[in-house]
Amino acid sequence: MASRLAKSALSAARARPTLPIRNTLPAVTTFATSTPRQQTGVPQKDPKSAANSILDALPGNSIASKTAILSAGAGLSVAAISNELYVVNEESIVALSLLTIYWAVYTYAGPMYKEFAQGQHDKMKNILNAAREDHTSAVKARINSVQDLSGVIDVTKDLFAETAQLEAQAYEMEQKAALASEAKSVLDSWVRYEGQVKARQQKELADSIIAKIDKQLSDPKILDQILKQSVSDVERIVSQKSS
Amino acid sequence: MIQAARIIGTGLATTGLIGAGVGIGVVFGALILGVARNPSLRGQLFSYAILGFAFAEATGLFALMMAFLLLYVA
Amino acid sequence: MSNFINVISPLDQFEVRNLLSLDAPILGNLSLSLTNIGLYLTIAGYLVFIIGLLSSNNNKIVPNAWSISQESIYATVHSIVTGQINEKNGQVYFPFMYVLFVFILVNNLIGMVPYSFAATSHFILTFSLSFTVVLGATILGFSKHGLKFFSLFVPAGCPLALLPLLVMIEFISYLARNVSLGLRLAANILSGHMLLNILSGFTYNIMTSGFLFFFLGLFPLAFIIAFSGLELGIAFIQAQVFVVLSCSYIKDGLDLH
Repeated sequence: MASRLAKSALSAARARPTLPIRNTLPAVTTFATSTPRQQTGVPQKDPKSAANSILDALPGNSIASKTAILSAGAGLSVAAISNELYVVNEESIVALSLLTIYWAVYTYAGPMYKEFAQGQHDKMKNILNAAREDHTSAVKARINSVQDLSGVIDVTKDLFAETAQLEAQAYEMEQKAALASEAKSVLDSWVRYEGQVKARQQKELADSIIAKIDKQLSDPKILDQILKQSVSDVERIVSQKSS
Repeated sequence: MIQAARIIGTGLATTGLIGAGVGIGVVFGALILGVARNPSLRGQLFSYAILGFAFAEATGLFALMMAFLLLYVA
Repeated sequence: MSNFINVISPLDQFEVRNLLSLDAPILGNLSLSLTNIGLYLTIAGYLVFIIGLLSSNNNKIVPNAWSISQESIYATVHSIVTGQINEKNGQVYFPFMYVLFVFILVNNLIGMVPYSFAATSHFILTFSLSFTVVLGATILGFSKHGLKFFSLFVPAGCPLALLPLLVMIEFISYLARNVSLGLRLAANILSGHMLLNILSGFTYNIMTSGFLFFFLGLFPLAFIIAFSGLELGIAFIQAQVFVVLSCSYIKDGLDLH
C-alpha cells in the first residue's frame, strides 16, 4: 500500500509540468536539464570540482604520475617509521605546528611582502627612469638653443668684412702713432746723451785742471816760487799800507 | 623529599608570571589608549609597544627561569 | 625516587653533544670535538654569508625582493643605531650592531626549524655577548671621560642625603645590566622551546590515547600552533631588543646620562 502510494507520488512528480519553471527562470536552464526531481538549487558540478581540486593539489602531471608519487610517499613513510629512521613522538607535533605557522606566513604574508618589494623595485626604477628622461630633455633643450645660434655664423661673416677693414685702418694708425712716438723717444735720448757728454767733458776739464794744480803744488820749486811770490806780495802790501 | 620540595619550589616560582601578565596587559592597554587619542599608529607607538612587551615578558621569564632551574638543575 | 630517573627532561633538547670528537693523550690529553652547538653556529655563519651573496642580484642598482630584504635589515639596524646613539657620530658602532642583530636573528630562526638546535638558548653564549657589550661600553666610558664616568651613577636632581644609597642602587643596577641583557635573550628562547616541547608532549599523549581523544587534542594543538607563531615573533623581537639595549648602554657610556 505504501509502496503503491510512493509509486503514484513518484509518477505524479515525474509528470509534473516543468514548463512554468522553465518560463519563469530562464537563467537556470542548466538545472532544468537534469531530472525534475533534483531541482534543489545546488549546482551539480560542486562535488566534482571539489574532488578535482584535491587531485590538482597532488604533485605530478598526469593521473599515473600522481598515483605513483602518492604510493611512493606512503611506502617511504611506512619504511622510515617502521625502521625507526623517523620516530613519531611529541617532536612531530612541534614540527607540525611550526610547519603550519610557516605555511601560514608564506600564504598570507608572502603576497604582502611581494607587493612591498615590488613597490620598492618600481620606486627605484621610476626614480632612475625619471632622472634619465630629465637628462635627455635637458640635453634636447640645450641642442635646440644651440641650434638657434647657428644662424649667427652668416651674420658674423658679413660683419667680419667691415670689422676687418676697420681693424686694418686702426692698425695702420696705430703703427703711425707708434712710429712717431718711437722717433720722439729716440731724439729725446740723443739730446740727453749730448747733454751727458757735455757735462762729462766739463767735469773732466775741471778734474784735469785741479789735478794739474795739485801736481804743481806738490813740486817743491813751485812751492818755493809761490812762497817768494806771496812774501813779495805781503811786502808790497805792507809797503803800500805804510806809504 | 628533596624532589617534592623541588616541585613545590617550582610551582611557587611560576607565580612570578602574574607580574608578566599584568605588565603586558598594561603595555598593550596603554597602546590602545594612545592610538585612540592620536592615530599615529604606524609611527612610534607600535614599536614602543613591542619593546615594552619584550621587557615585560623578559621579567616574567626571569621567574620562569628560576622555576626551571629549580625543577631540572638544582 | 627511582621512578623519577627515567623521566626524559624537556632540557634534553638543549644538551650539547659531541658529534665528532678527537680525544688523544698527546699534548696533555687533547680533546677536540665538533659539538652540535658548534655545528649549528657554523651553519648560521654560512647561511648569513650565502644569503648575502645570493641577494646581490648581479650588482644591479634596482633591487629584487631578496635584495630588498637585506636592505631593510640594514635600514632597521641603521635607524636603531643613529636614533639611539647619535645622529652624526653613531655610525662608528653600526657594523658591530649589524653583526650582533644578524647573528642573534639567524640563530633564533635556525632554532625555529623543526628538529634543529637553538644556539641562543644557551646562557653561556648570550652571557658572553652581553658581558662583552657592557664591558666594552664601560671601557669606552672610562677612556672617554676618565674618572668622571662615575657621574653616571648620580641621577640628576637628587638630594644630597640620599646620595650614598642612590649611588649604591645605581651601581648594582649597572652591574645587573651585564646579566639581564643576556638573560633576557636566553630566557625567552629557552622558555619558548621548552614550553613548546612540554605542551606538545602532553598533546601527543592526549592524541594517541584513543579515537575521540585525537579530535579532543586538536584544541591544545591549535594553542600550540598559535604559540609557535608567537615564538617566531619573539625571535625577531628579542634580536631587536638586544640591539636597542646595547645601543642604549653604549650611549650611556659615551654621554653619561
